[in-house]
This record gives sequence, C-alpha cells and structure tokens, in this order.
Amino acid sequence: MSLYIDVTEFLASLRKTGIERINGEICRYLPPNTAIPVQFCSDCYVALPPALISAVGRYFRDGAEAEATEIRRLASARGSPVEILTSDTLLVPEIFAYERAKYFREMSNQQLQRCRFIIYDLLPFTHPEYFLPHLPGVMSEYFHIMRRANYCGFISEYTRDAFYGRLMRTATRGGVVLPLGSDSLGPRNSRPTANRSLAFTVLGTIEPRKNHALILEAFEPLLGKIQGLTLSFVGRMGWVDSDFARRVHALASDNRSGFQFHDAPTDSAIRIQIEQSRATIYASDAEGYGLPPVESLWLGTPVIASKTIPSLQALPGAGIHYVEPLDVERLRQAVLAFLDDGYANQKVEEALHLELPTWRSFTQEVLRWCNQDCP
Amino acid sequence: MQPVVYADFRCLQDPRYRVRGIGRHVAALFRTRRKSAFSTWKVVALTDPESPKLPPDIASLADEITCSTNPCIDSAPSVFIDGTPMTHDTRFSLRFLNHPHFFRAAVLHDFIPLDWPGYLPTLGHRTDYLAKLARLRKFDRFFPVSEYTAWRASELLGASRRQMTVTGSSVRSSLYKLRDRLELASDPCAQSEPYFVIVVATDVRKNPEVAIKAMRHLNLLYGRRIPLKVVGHYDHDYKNKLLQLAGSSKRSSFLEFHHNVSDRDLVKLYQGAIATVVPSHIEGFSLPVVEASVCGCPVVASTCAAHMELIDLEEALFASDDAAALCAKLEALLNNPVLRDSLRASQASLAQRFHQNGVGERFWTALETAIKHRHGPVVITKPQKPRLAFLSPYPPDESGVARYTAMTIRAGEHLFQSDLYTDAPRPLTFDGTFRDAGPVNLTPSLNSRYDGIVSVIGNSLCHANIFKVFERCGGPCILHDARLTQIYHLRLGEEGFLRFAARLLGRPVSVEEAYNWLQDRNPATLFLEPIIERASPLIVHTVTQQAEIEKRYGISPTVLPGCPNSYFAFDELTGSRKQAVREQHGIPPGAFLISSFGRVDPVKGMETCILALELLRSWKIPAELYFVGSAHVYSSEIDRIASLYDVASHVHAQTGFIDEDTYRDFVIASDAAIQLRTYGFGQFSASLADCISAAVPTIATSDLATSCDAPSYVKSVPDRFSPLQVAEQLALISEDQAARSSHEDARIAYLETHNFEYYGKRLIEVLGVG
Repeated sequence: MSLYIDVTEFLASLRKTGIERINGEICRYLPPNTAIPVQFCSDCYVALPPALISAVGRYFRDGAEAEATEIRRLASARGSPVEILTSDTLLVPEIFAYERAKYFREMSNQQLQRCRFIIYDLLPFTHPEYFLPHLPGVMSEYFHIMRRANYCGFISEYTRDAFYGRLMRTATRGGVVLPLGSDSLGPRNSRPTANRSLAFTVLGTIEPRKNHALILEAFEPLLGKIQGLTLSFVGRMGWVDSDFARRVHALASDNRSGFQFHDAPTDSAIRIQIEQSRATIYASDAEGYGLPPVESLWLGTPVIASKTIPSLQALPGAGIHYVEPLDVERLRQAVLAFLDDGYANQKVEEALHLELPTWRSFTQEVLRWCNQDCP
Repeated sequence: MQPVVYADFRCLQDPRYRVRGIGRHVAALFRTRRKSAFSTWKVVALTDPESPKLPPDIASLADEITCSTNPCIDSAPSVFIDGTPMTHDTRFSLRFLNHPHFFRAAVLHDFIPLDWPGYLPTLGHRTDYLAKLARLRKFDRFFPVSEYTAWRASELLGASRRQMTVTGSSVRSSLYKLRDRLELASDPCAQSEPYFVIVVATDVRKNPEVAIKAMRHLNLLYGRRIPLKVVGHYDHDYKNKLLQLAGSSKRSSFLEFHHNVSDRDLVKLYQGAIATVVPSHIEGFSLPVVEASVCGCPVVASTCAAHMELIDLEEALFASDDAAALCAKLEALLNNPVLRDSLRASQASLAQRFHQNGVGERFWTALETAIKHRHGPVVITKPQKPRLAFLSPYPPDESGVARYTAMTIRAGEHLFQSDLYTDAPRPLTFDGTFRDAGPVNLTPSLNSRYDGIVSVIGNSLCHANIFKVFERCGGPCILHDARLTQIYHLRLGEEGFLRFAARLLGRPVSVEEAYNWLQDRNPATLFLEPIIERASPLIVHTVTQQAEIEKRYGISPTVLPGCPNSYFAFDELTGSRKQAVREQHGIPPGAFLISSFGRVDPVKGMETCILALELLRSWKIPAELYFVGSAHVYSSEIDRIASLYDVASHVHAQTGFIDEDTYRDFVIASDAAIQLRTYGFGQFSASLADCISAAVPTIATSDLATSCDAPSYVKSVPDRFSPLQVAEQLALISEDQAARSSHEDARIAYLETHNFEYYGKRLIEVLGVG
C-alpha cells in the first residue's frame, strides 16, 4: 500500500509559484517516508528516489539553488515503471493534458478511484475571457477526466461549487475542500507595526482579471496629492495590453510618481513589502483561491479586497475591508479610510487574531484525504 | 442634389507634372473655381491610390477626394474634367467617358508627340497615343491652351471650333506678387555684366543649343563676358552637355546655372535680364514667354506657332534653327535700350491676359455656357427603374455571398433592373429576373446604361476577379466580410502578402505574425484598406462592423441591415411540421436536436459545439448535434474529437455542400442552434439570421448576436467562450420547453427590417439612384 505523489510538472520547471508551490509545500511538510515521488514518462509513471521529497521540501524552505541541482540529480535517477494497484494511492496535485490525460482516460473507473486529484479552479471554463482562446479546449480533456474521478480535492468551496454546480450540474457535493496555507512567506508576526507609512501594495501577476488598471485609476488622483502615499505593484508583468504595460513602466520610472513596480521580488522582499504596507489590495474578478490576501493577513497586514475572493470567503471578515461592488470610486474610498491611523491599526489588530490555514495543516488534510477510500 | 464636378487629379499627384506647366495650369483652374458659377458645385478629385497623396494645398482645391472612378448616376448634373487627357492611363476614367450622364471637358495642352519626331519611339507608344486621341472624341468640350493647339485638335479630332474655348495657360500668382514687391536693383542695360536668361528642360524640342550658339558668338564678338543665365529643370549630365556646347569650362563659361531657383530669385533674374530667350522648336503654349513678360523682361522667341500667338514684333522673333539671326536680335537689344523698352511694352499685355483669374474665368464661363447649351442627351432617356450592374459570385457558387446576391436581385426586381457579371459556372442555378452579362470584367464601365455598378466583395477566391475590377475602378461596394486577410493571402502568395501587410502597417511583418492573423488571432489590420479607399459608398451589414471600421480606419461605412437567406411561413414552424421533418430525417424521438448552420470551421467553434454536446449528454440531456453545412477538410477532426469524448454517435456532419431543402428542414426541426465565431469585428452571419428568421432558440457569440440585431430568443455567450458556457445556455433552452410560437412577435418585428425587399429599397437609396 503506497502513496505516490506526481511531481512531473514541478520537475519540468522547478518553479516556486502557482500550482508548483502547492506541490513544493506538500513535499516540505510530508512526514518522512510517507510518499514516493513519481514522474510521468511517455505512457506510464516511473518512481523517483524518496530523497527527492525532502530535497524539494528544502528547496522551498531554504530556497537554496544548490537544492535545485540536487533535485535534478535525483530526478535523473529514474526507477522502474509504477503500476498503481488497487491498494495504492496516486496524488496528482498538478493539471495536465495530452499524454497524461490519455493515461488517465484509459484507466478503469476502479483504477481512477485510486487517484487523488487536486482541482484548483474552473476559470478557463467559467471565465474564458481571461485566457487564451484555445485554453478551454485544451482543458476539456482534463475536466472530462475529473468528472469521472469522483473524490477530488478542491482548494476552495467556491471551486467545489463550480465543479459540482456547473460542470456536473448537480446539487450534491463530493470530494473535500483543502484550504491552502497562508504561511508561505514565513512565521507569523507576534506584534506587527502600528501607524505604518501610507504604503499600499498589490500582489500578483499583472493581468486583466486582477484589475490592476482599476486600482491604478483609483490611486492616480491621490498619488502626489497626499504626502507619503505610495502604491506598489508586486508581481510579474503577465498578459496585459501593451498600452497598460507602458503606462506601468512609465509611472514606475518617475521617482516623483509615488508608484513602484517590482516584477521579480524574492519571498523575503515580498514579506518586507507586505509588512511595511498599511494594507494590501486584492481586487481580482475571478480566482480559484486567492493566496496573496491570506498571506498578507498572516503577516498582520489588512486587505482591501473584492467580494469574489474564495480564500477570504471562509474567513469572518476581520482584517478585511471589502469593496462591494468593486469600482474605482469605492476602491478610492477604501484607501482613504485606511489613511486614518485608528482605522488602519484596528484592522491590523483584527488580522493578527485571525485563524488561518497553514501549509502544515493543508498537508495533513491532504494526507488524511489520500488515506480515505472513495465514499 | 448637389451638382458635381469630377476631376481627374492624377496629374497633381504625379510629381513629374505637378510642378510643371501642365500641373500648374490644372491647379490654377481649380483655384479659380470658387469665383465662378461652379462655386456651389461639389468638386470630387479622382485620384489613384497607387500614386503619392495630394499635397495639402492641392487637396484643398477639392471638396472630396476619392479613389473611386465608378460613381452612381443620380439626377444631379455632373461634369467630368480631364486636365491631362494625353498623359495617364485612360482606363481610369472609363465610366465618365462612356456614360451619357456626364458632361465631359478636356484641357488640351498640345499634340507635340505626334507633331515632333522622337516622342513615340515604338509601335506601342504610337498605338497608345492614337488610342488616347480617339478617346478625346468622346469629350463634349475642349479647352486648348492656345490657338495652335485648338487648330491641331480640329484637324486631328474633326472637332468643331464651337466646341473649343482657348483659355491660354496661367502664370502662377506668386510671380505677380513678387514682381510688385521687388524693386529693380539697376537698369539691366547699365549693369557691368548685362545678361540674358533662358529656361531649359531636358526635352530636345526646347532647343537651348541655338541660344548657346548665338550667345557664344556674341561673347566672341564683344570679347567680354555676356552671361546666359540658365534656369529650369535639368540634371548634371544635361548641364555638362550645355557647357560643352558653350565651348568652355564651368569656371570660364558665359553660362551661369541657376538650378531649383525660388520664385523670388526667378523674378529677380527676369527683372535684371536684357531679355529672355525662348528658342523651342515647338510648343503648345510657352509659359516662359508669359512669365518673363509678367516680370517686365522682354522675350526673344522662336517662330513656332504658339509663340507667334503671343509675340508679334519681328524684332523679337527668330527661326529656331537660325543662331545667327538670334545673335543679331540679342546684339540689338544689348546695345539699344529703347528697343528693349519697346519690346517690353509690346509684350506687357500678356501679363494681364494670362493671369490665373483671367484664364480661370475663360474656362469656367465657357464650361457653364456649354453645359447650358448642351445638345443631345442632357436628360438621359432613363428607364423607370434604375439599372444596376452587380459583380458578384452567384449560385451555383457554393458561397453564402452568392446566395445573398441572388436574393438581393430577386427581391429587387420591382425596384431595379439587374445585370449580373459573375464568374460562377453556367448554368446559373438561382431563379431571378436579371440579365446574365457574362464573366466579371471591366465592360460595365463601358456600358452607358448603368446607374450603378456594384462590386460585391468577400473573403474568398470566388471574388478574385471582382477585386481586380474594383481595384481599378472602385465605386459602390457591398463588403460581406469583416476582414480580408485570407483572400489577400491567397491572391498575393506568402511573400506578396508579407510585403502587402508591411506596406499597410509601415513596418516589417514576420511569417509568424501573418500566420496568427490568418487564424484571425489579433490581426493588426483587417486588410480592408484597399477597399475602403476605393469604395464609394462602402456598404456593410452590421452596425458593429461599421463601428469597428470607424474605430480602425476613421471612416463610417453605410449599414444596410443584413438579411436572412431563408424565410418561413408561420405554418412551417408549427410543432406538427417540426415533428414531420424530424421523422423524415430520422431524428430520434425525444432527442434535443442542436444544429450549427453554415460551413464548418474551427473559427466557428467547431470543437466547442462537440464539447458542449458532451456536457449536455453528461447532464442526461439527450442531445444530438448536427453540423448543417459542409465539414469539408474538418470531417476527420470532428470524428477525432467526438470519439475522444465518446459522443461520436451523437455528432453528425457531412463533407458535401448542404442543399437548400435540407438546410431549411434542419432550421425547422432544430430545438436549438449554435452559431459561434472566435473572431468578431462585427461580421454578419446569414446562418444566425436564418435561425432568427425561424425563431430557433440560438446560442451565439456576443459580437455576432449584436451584429445580427438578435432578438431575445438568441442567447449570447462571451466572444471568448467555453464549452461550459455554451452547454449551460443550451441546457436552459432544453429545460424551457417554450414553443417557438411564443417568439412570433419578436420574429415578425425582426423580419420587418431584415428582408431583401427592404434591403433592395435601401440599396437604391444609398446608391442615390432611386
């Protein structure tokens, strides 16, 4: 009886963000000798040395580049093909297409029940306008398989609702919800700073659904007028129209604009940025979870957010200032509210006492789920 | 309706003519138009899109600039003016020369190529020139620049002198202004180095040789330097040739070259000269003679006919091959200031006579009189209905455009007479009252019967010859497609397409970029530029396409509401009829029949249709999907996707063209339809219009639904759609179970303005031929 964990996509990129981060955090918090890493090659999974899991864990914990070399070395030592037996479990925390899709498609329902898929979102289906036109077609095969796999894990209630309510078109709910950890950026602060400078930070890749243009519009009349007010975009420049990208770069290059753009910060730099911010802003139109706002709350920094962020929906609302409905004027009013030290400090205090999931708790939930039989 | 002057402005686009006598004369005529009875007329400048754009000062002479030479004929008077009928490609103005509606006026400069050797070196040149001469006979009125030209025109064309008004050619007004402003520095005769002026060009007939010989002799005779100042248009080689003729080096020569002089310097040169020598063997008119006179400089000119109209004193004339005689005349002027003054006085009247106001007045007044007294078919014997020529695909061409034109012609038979020019294979297979006028070619422009010649343009190869005609003539254009990327790629080939795209965008275009555009992914241009610049009017079928064109190109085309191809009586849409048709086609009882109409293509969401069907079936909805249109090359891809998702037995497609009866049956039998497009740009969809026409609940992309003015029984999905969104909408339709009859009011309201009778009526209104 073995637990295999699919690290195919992670090994291809060794990225520390997005879905690869989840894979990494699981490896980081898995108890020793709990799972065997596997990689998909052509038409089957092959086993990799168990030491790879701790190497991946260290890579995420310490961030040392030496660990990347070690991961590559261990990954090159491929073992024999793995046959998933009825007593085994295959944890697939990645999304896939083509060969892997074919592999799973050809599985019997019984075999498929031994697989544990983590489903992150249905956005290419529910919000295709934010993605490349061919993506829904590419994702169709993945979701076709997910519909057969009847014991999936969902990173949010919202994603589970979308899956069952829309894709399966049923009122019943299956699978489990596995809230992601909030502590990627390190341990929680016991006493966050009060009376912070008038710095606001927007975390995440710059792309249309995250509404960076709207945020900038809300700030532009204030920047330069309110002394000390700054706005920072922290995240890589993703899929945006070239005019907006030019505008961001132009503003950032103007020292007097009060606007900053950090496109490739380290985790520690992000942490410092958040800790020094009066609030972070997260105004995305659609998310599967929304990690940045809970990471902000974890560090004791309040969040100005739209109502549509699944990760916040499970929380009581403390430390959060919702903008509903989201528009430029309401967002500007929210920013102005945070200029008041009393209000901002109160929100910091609220954030400090929020109960938030951690990657350890997430991994424990994943393990519990993997060890359960399909209902 | 406002009367119109159509004027061929190509000579003003062409730098070879614009800054020379011919171009300046034509521009001057239009500069004086606003002082004439034609000030209330609209001047439409006809231009060639392949030539340079008109400079702003020239463009301002016209009220409208167009690349279309194919206007519609309305009741307003129209004049066509050809300012240079013997220079440019004459096919440009076929429509104006062949339709009796237009009063045609030609400005005649000369017939020198025929009268002087060396201008028509080959048979081709001679044939072309004679063809142009023959074409001149089609003009109603001539405006020669000299008596000499008028006389030659009479001889060559057999035209009556009553058809002619000699206008002369005008000197640009800047010379008059400068003349009045600039004071003469000293008496030309009292200068330490008195000089003569000659205006040259590389043209052999300008004959500077005789002047140089005469001046060389004069210099030798007097043993001192008496300069000949050379102005005009010439190149380095020509200059050396003249120096050689003068028998001296550049430094020691009596020749002084003044290349590209400003008007100010030119006036000064004339004013300071003893005389200007104009030695041409032959001229139609001689501007240097008049220019020099304007500046107070006497002229000594050769005895060619055009000169003798301007100069009558013997002391100022010489035979163009007699250097000795010229030398004697120049010597006399050099030594005799009184003679110089008398010549100047005798030539002074030229300045007034050839001022642009005088020349313009002669031109426009004579034109006005000629139009008033026009004999013959001023009022054309028109049939009661206007006659239109359509250049279009037509059934049996397997194209939606072909059918659209056929429906337009059939429905319009009470409103207009139609001649059809089509490359469709014969026999034509769609009934209608029209004349099959043969394949697509230029002949409609030669035909005097047409009130409008309409080019129907689309994004497929069956329009190839229509493009060729349209690119030459322009005119009314019904544009069926929102982009023309694919047709230009097919017509030009890959290399040609890349060059074409680069020219339109003003930057290099890579193969990868072009590949994406051919898949309709974010095209940088819709490749409509050549159509837009030639179309008048440009007709599109949706307001969204109109807006897209306005956004991208800054012009607003005319919208005629797009029409369904298929129409249904109320009793065809009843439940019982639907049931009967479904049985006839073997549709399983209880099936939720979804159809997607029109040619199958990935850009029409082919994959999404199948994936949506799969979702519906997983939701226990007994859906069956029919592609009602040729799947052609995509048949195997449909099979692959359907098999991959285990729905192959529920997806139905065929490779051949769907006949009309089957198409109609499926419109009647369907419970729902899917009409998607991965690109927008405001493209009309006849298939969606057909669904609306039969009140079929339909899922369409947002752009398409808006474009087709879709009523509420068309549900839209975003332009970037997913199978889930389509399936959800279809599921709602399946659950709704509303009878089609509940949409009857909306259907009727839609059809009131979306039918071919209405379309035909609007078409003749838009063309202005109603």
